[in-house]
Amino acid sequence: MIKDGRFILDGMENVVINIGKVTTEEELAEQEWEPMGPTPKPGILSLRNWDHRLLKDFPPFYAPICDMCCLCTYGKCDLTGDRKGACGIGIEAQQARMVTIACCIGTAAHAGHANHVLHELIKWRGRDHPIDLGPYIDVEAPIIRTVVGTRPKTLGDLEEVLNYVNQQLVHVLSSTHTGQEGSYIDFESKALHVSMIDNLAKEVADIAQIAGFDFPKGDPDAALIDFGFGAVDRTKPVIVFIGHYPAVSVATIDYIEEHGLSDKMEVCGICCTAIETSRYSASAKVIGPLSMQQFFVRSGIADVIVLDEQCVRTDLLEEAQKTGAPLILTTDKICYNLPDVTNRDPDKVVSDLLNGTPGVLISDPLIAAQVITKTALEIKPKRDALNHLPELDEVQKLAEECIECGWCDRACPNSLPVKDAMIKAKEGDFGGLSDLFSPCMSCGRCESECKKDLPIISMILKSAQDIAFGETYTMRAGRGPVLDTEIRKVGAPLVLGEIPGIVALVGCSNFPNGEVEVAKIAEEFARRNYIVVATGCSAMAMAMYRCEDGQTLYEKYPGSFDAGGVVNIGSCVANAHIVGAAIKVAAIFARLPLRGNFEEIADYILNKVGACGIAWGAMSQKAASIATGTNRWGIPVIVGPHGSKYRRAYISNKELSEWELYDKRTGEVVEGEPAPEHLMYPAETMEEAIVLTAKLCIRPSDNAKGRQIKLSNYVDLYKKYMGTLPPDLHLFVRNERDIPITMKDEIMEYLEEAGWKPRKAIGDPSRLVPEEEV
Amino acid sequence: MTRAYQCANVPGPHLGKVGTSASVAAAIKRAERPVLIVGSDLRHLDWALDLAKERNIPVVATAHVAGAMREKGVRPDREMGAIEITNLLKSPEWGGVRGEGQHDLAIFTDVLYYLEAQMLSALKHFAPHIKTISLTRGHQPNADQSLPNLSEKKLAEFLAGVMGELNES
Repeated sequence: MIKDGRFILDGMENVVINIGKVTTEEELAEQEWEPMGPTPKPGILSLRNWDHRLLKDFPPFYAPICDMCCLCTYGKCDLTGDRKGACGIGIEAQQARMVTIACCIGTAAHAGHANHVLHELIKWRGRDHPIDLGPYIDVEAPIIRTVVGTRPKTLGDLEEVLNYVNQQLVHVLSSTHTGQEGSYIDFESKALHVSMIDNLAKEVADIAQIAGFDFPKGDPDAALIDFGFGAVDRTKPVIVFIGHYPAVSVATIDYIEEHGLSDKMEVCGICCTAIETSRYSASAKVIGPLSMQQFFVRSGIADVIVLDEQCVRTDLLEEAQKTGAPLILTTDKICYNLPDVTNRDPDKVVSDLLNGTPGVLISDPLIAAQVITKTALEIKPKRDALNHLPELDEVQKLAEECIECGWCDRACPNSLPVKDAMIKAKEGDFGGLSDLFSPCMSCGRCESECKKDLPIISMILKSAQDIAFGETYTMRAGRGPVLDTEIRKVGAPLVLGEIPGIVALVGCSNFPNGEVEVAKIAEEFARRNYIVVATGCSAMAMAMYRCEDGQTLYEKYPGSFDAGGVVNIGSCVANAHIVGAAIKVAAIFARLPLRGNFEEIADYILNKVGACGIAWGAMSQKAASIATGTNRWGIPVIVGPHGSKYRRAYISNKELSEWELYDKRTGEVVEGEPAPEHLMYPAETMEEAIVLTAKLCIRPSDNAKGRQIKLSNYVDLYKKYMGTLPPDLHLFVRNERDIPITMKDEIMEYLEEAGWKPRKAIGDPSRLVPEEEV
Repeated sequence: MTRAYQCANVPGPHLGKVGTSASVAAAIKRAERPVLIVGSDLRHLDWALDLAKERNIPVVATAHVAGAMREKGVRPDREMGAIEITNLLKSPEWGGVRGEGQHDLAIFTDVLYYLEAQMLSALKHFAPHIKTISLTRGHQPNADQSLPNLSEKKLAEFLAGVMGELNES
């Protein structure tokens, strides 16, 4: 075998052969698949110009949720107005710093998940286990290709990507230490950078899961999963998995099947673990998004509660104990001061749990699976005798203790009318409490504030028992990536605007008015032939709704990535496939090279792919990094009103902004348009979000027919909710050919009043400075 | 000390005052170019529209409130998101809702409490040229003046008191 080095051949002592580097066949193939672009494995500075360009059009808007900095011992420092902290930092930089920290936490959570699942799968399947996403996906890892510049073929190949992820995360987080970055713009650039790294981590995690657990590979007809409290057969032992990391639930399902117990037990999940588990087995039930966590645990339905990681209530040990259900922790992220019994005889652990040990930590999924199953089987008869919720007459008695101080309303994130509901319950009218079930996120802040320690969540659940326990819905299992074949079909109509946009409903369930709004948003756009995709808690929230004909959205609309589809992509980490779909439009339709070519791809998406994210219940730091990462790729995101507490939005200044683009065809600087108008926007109401979504799908690349379709949706929705034409309509009409034919007279009259003048559509819009000007 | 309506909404050392009907009315009278920002709660929409009409104050309808106003036969001066109007109010060079110059007083009413808290924070930090009043449910510490925490009945009396004081001028 030839190696690199210096060689002298026998009998030819005067000849020295130097071999610098030997290229293997694999390396040669890697070199040949695409020429390397300008920014493989970018560092913080590599894409800084792109970030600054984005932030010129969409400057950060800061709304501090805290006026101080408390991060070092100089503090607390008051940063109100133009004051500076002891380290010299001002309020804007401090907000951007906090956003950067939030994005680092979010990225770390996904990267932790990715590291964890990849290493477990390598242990199970080996480093050489192939990444095979099926016959319809050639561009297997669009984010990795574009950012890192590699094509992963095996699980082992993903380790290199994670090494880069971990390194970049360290660099960005270090910049938030006291006495480092001082510019808010550059903090934002770092937030954008680490959130792009978050995209990578998510792609690694989900590709590994699909390959290692044999999850669906982009199947538009993925199974319909039974959903809701009512879907659970309570006569059987019930195991609930809460969190995001599926190794333990997968191992448990395998164990149950191997021991012939599949018909004898119920496996269900809450939050993203539920989605992941149902990707593995269609017999697993989904309880709901994380907003259902406290309700479900209080219901006492679960005989064993298993936690893995992320977005889990931190008081579940206490809550589980109230219902007599043992708690089993399975990762190093959540330990709750419980004993690590991974190396103890599993049967003895089961015995301990049956005899009153409230919970244990077991870090090996295969051992955990055994303990979980055996414990559930044996504890079920004991728990059947327990009554977990108060009876209705007890609810009334509890309500009679209420002193009507009103602090419950004030503690509630959504200021729900808890006090009024209590007053009604005193009279035996449980309608008020029952009405709270749907909008309540079961956070329990009302209970925490209650001077009489009333179990308000339990009272709401009992009052709403017919709704809570009676309803069963369906959710299509998370299908994973969008197929290349689907992109070939929709690429052109998306870029030209003839499919009016991709609407991505993502993120947590901190909704201002309950889950129903997410479903209504989805239905509004599916009916209008947008492509509706969903992930995580939003994908689950959408399931908890029936259309007028009684069908769930997943029953009514196809699961294909096409106009009018409602597509459950998967869990939080599957968000990578949504960005991935936009990248694939650039690669497959426009034939742009992906490899190490971030700026060109992001510029293409920003100017030509009409996509808009909606994180209506964004709550976590993960949601912050998901949204910010999506922004760096040029996709705008609307967050719900609670999203204003992230402290920062990216919004244009409406009438004060200048919209300047390059026309790559002519090389000229041209007058652009606010398309999209904002990059990160907290909306106050669902109706505002719906109208804005239609607007944020408009792109400079739309052809006349596409612009007509997009404008007809924007105008129609504006009229539906505001009763008139949009006041900024003139900004989006380039010439008469853009005007929807059925609205022509009305719009022309408006345009004349607004003093509108026609302008040319831009041939090939871009925000990148042409090379000759650099 | 009056706590914020949403009790954990404690921003920092600089907290606004709890207003009275008289102090709110006095601030409105003092303002040269006030603007009224009406949000999605709609609880006090009629009162807000009366105030705008009585004092000729330009109205910005946030969220989808413009639809509700049109149902009452009122056309707001502007329709835009709460964050969009706040962003414009931050810019000293902005010409105001009616092009008569940047406003010197922003009166918020019925915007979602926690969203409004954030918008008021933005103005507190970045718009020293503008005073703020919150007439949304309960105390908003980020506003220069806001309501005490009142029952609906007392709140109606408070708002009637503001109108009474204004009409005395």
